[in-house]
Amino acid sequence: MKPPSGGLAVPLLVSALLLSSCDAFFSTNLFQKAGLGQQKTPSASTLASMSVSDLKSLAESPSFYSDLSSDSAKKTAVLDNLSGVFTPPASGGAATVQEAAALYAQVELNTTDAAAMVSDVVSAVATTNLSSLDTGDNIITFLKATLPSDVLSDSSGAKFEAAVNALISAQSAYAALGQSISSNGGATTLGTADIGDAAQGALLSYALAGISITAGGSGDTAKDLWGQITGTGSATVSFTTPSDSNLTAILDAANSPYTFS
Amino acid sequence: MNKSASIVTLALLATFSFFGAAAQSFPPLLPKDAAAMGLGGSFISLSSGYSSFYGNPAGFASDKGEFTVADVKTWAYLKPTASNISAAASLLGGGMSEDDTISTLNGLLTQNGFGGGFSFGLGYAGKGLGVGLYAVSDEVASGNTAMGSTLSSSTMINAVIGLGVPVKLGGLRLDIGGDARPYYRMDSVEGGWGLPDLLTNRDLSSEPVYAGFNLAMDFGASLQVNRFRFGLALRDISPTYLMGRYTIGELLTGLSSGGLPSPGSDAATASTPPFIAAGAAWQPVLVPHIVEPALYLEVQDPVGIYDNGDSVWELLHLGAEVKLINLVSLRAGINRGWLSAGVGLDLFFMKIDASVFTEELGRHPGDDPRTGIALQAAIRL
Repeated sequence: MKPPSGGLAVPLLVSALLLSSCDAFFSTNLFQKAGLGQQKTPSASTLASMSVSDLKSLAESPSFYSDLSSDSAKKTAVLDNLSGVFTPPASGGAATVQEAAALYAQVELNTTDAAAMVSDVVSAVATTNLSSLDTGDNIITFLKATLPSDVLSDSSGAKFEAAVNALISAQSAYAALGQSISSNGGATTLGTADIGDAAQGALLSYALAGISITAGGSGDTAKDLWGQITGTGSATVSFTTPSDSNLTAILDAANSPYTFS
Repeated sequence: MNKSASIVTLALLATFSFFGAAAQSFPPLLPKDAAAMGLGGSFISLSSGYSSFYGNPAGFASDKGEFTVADVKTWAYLKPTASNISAAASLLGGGMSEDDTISTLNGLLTQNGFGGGFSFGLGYAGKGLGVGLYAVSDEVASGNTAMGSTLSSSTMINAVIGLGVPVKLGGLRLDIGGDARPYYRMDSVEGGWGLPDLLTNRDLSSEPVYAGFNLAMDFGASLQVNRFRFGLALRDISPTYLMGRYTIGELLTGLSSGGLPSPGSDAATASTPPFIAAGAAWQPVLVPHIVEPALYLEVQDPVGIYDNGDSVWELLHLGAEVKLINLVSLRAGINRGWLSAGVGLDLFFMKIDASVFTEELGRHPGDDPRTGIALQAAIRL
């Protein structure tokens, strides 16, 4: 008997793909939907005293971030716990300080749409060079390129403002992380993935730190930036290229191909 | 669970802990079997024929001997939407700038992970004997961000020699099997290689890799009760072993000169955690040779609950299959809560299978999914 041709593989594969053509097929976990086997986030008082490694373990599940974003007391407990670890005088060694700082930033980012903005930084860099972010117009163009569609379509600007405020808040953690790396001879104790995530987040966080509202501002930077992005604001935005040694330490430790210089 | 079963379970766990104490863990590496993945991954303990080499060695006790001349499997980690396929084609076509490459990769890596693998092998299984050889390799890049993405790589070459015996228990048949499996495996260092670094330098040869030999044993049992079949497979039983740390360049230079570099002082003590799968199949009679349905249920890797704190729901795999006129198989499954589907063609001595699947990489259902497509072809005599 002659063996069938390898071309049979194609209709077989097409059939399999047809079976799964709707996105729900890939994005539905039946057990999760039924609430089976899901992680339970501890109470705020427990979170306030948990070790960094235990918090990091909880953060491996996305449900940790969704629970914190819907419960401000829990989020505050985690952030206060972590900032107590990395804020000088730091209570742990370099490894603990760096883990706490990186996790603090992740909590800020992942409880808002800031994480999606950070993820799109590399796409934004493909169209806007970081070293030419020297004008208010350029930084607004850059920021706009990082925005996911659901943030842009939120006409109230609330999602954008929450994300920007989270990135601004995360800057203290990135500064502590960079400081610890510098004090540690330029070496990070974070894994390859964690330091890469921190570097990409720090790029956007420091870009926001370089923004100043020089005229016509409301006193709320996030609100003024939203006005500029939607073309409804009257604030004058200027940008100073970040040249912070802590940022440099993070980018160097991550072998980042991107810098502001 | 009765008292003696509890004692046996505790003893097994204690033994596994002893074997793996203070060692770097290298997880079991199994081929992505397209038929099994279409069934929600529920076919390790109930495997037979060639798949007994990486499934249940009790399959060696089968009355029917089967010689697999060639078995080729390949899989891709990619959510098969039109936009993802187009992005992957552009990426693999080459010619993109570095910025565009990173931008395109960003979507693929952060949403699902991007990569794939292959396996090929041959062997004879059945009539009390299992002798085979198979290689499997799996490469995947993934991350939360492009700059935090890593490329993980694992490759194993296995030789299998095993025995199986049928035991009559009244009117029941119990198949028991076991094998010895020497292998050589190579793995990227823990956490994988940083992708931005790889894309910038475009040089894999300086990346660190662990490599080493080991001998593992696998055991299994299968019980047939009327239209029900029960299976238990216990794989990767071995003490700790030594994995040398090299650069890829050093390893390739060693291999090309017909030898391997010595492990050196920075070798790691390695362990591969034992893998347990227990399952049941029900194959009711509907329309013999025309419409033959089957249902599968399998519990995999209970050690993960003890070792990693996995949810108990992470153990469950369910599958359903309908075989039409002994030619076409339609499959669907639930893999730790995620849906899968597949088709198969059984054409005399050639078998072709395809499937789409999503597997869970996190500790709780829904935490960290990865979707892929799998394809396999085998010539069997």
